[in-house]
Amino acid sequence: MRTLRIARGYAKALVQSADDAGSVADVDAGLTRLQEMLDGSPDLAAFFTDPMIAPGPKGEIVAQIFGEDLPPLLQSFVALLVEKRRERELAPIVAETRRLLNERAGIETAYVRSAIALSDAQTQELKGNLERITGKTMRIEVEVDTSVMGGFVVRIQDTIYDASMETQILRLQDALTAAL
Amino acid sequence: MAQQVRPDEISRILQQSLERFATEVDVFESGTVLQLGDGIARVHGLQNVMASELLEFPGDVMGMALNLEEDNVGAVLFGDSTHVREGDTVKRTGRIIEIPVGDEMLGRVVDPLGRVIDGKGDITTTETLPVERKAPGIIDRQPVREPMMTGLKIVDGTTPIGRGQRELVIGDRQIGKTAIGIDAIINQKGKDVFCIYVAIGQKGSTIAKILQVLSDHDALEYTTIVSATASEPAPILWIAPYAGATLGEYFRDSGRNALVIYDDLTKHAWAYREMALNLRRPAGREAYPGDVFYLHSRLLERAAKMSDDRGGGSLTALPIIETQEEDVTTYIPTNVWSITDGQMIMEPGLFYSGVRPAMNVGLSVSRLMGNAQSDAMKHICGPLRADLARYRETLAFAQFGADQLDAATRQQLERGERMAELLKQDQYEPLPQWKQILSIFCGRHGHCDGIEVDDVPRFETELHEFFQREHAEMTVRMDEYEQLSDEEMEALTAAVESFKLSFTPSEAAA
Repeated sequence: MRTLRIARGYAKALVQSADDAGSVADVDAGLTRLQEMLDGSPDLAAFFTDPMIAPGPKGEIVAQIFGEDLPPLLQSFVALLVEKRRERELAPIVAETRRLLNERAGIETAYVRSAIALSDAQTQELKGNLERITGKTMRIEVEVDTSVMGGFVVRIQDTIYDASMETQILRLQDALTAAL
Repeated sequence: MAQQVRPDEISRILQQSLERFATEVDVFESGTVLQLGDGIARVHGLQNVMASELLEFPGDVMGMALNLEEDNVGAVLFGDSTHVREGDTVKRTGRIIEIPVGDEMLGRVVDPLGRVIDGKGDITTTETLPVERKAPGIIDRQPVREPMMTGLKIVDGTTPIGRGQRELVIGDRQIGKTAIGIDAIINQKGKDVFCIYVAIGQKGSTIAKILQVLSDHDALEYTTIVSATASEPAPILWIAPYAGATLGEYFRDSGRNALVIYDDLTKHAWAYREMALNLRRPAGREAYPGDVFYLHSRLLERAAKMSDDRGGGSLTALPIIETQEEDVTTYIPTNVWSITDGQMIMEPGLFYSGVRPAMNVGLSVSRLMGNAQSDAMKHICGPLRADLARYRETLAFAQFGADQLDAATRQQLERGERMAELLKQDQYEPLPQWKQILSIFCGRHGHCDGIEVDDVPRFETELHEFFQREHAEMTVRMDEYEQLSDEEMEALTAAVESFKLSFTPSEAAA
């Protein structure tokens, strides 16, 4: 809970600064790179989050490592994290920043659970329909899950569109037993 | 199976429901159970959930969203939480909690969610109302002006209750608090007052006994029992009085009169404390949450006498509070005390010395007093409270040397003793107004002065019988609202005098 509150503050500040500097796209790409670098090297990740290393020396080393790859704003951002000793909060901050950027761009992710793998045409049709319903640009992530039996279940944030056979059958069961 | 089911009928029903069955996409907002324990679920998601909204958990368990926090929702469960697991999906319903209302609920026992628990079959009502409702505003009310008689001489004579009043019944365990409520219900027979008895956190056997008593006295036909026994989870106990109030409001808002008894609000406050602590709300005095006053004030404010424009109905509330060791100065008793329009204080000392109902007349108050009495009762009772207070004061003083008292004081003591005896009354025997008037009249005007104290109960019974037999027209008159005229008072005195001539003192007394 505390982490989330911290992440919100940093993420909001980062997005605002990126907006002011007109470098939203750069920051977006830079965050991906930053995450990739840390994920790719466990040593680097361990060093980055090690609280035993004083902020001063750590800041210098981190600046050298990330220096060229990141846009200036993200360099300052990483330096700030090190100085404030919030390195461990990087992942939630990145996630929250992503959420904010998507929200601004009107992009939503729809998580689809489908009984079978969807063809491209089907995915496109679903995407088109969901975009029409929500009025937002959709990013579709499909997961095959046989427990839905047939049809699919779409989750966009907290809203669920349930068109699965599983639910239909349960509803039919209710209807039939209620009639008796 | 006693019921005959024909196979072709079944298949017709099935066919119909299949035809009606449409394949639709189910759209709902959801959340995920993060944590579960003590009947409380922490739910992630449910972005747009409203406070007090009903939530649907797996296994047909309903819950209510109570704590809306930054990144989770605290919900209480109204059922068995063993069906619910971490990671389960929770659905929003968009509804708030409601209970079916209507005349069909009379004579039945239901739980606070309106589900039948008396085994007498389903209730089909056309209407439902939210359990939590706003109390009527000032414009919609009018002052209490009609009596709501309990049938108890001591209550109707010294702390009368009016229709729309809230009168607290307070005292230790097992000294007749519930009995006052039950007597009040029994006394409403034929008076067009619909009763709701809300049992909160009581033993199932106690409720079964009350059900039996009410049905034995033909009082069940105009009464609904809302039962939340001690075995129910705290949230069920918590909503029980609100559900009872909603049932009462149905009668109130349709221009009729209702009486609701909350038995008891101490356990209600305990249930709310349990919920609040488990929801991690900050604890205040005696570990109750900060809004425990509002918990009871908003409930009791729903009792009201409606204005004539709104139908003139009423909802009277008799909240019951149980104290420990006669301590009425603890948190919950003082809260409820300050909300109600008066209190009846029951004392174990009186109860065990045989004064039943064991009400302390000196400390008990009805803030409406005369407005809640008929003119006839008001006229007869007059300064009954003051008389009794003076008697008790003199009694305390006389203990230091009764033999040196002057005649006037001795007479006051004797009359007071007989008055106190006359105010005793057996359980489940509420008296009509005319019997109360007769008894109080005799006590106050010294008609019992020559009777031995042990003979007073027999004197009273025979007096009532005598009037019923010999002066039926006078009993009808004494049941009316209007004050007795001087001539009628004279006739009453004459009739009592003639009865006294025929009364034979018992041998032991002589």
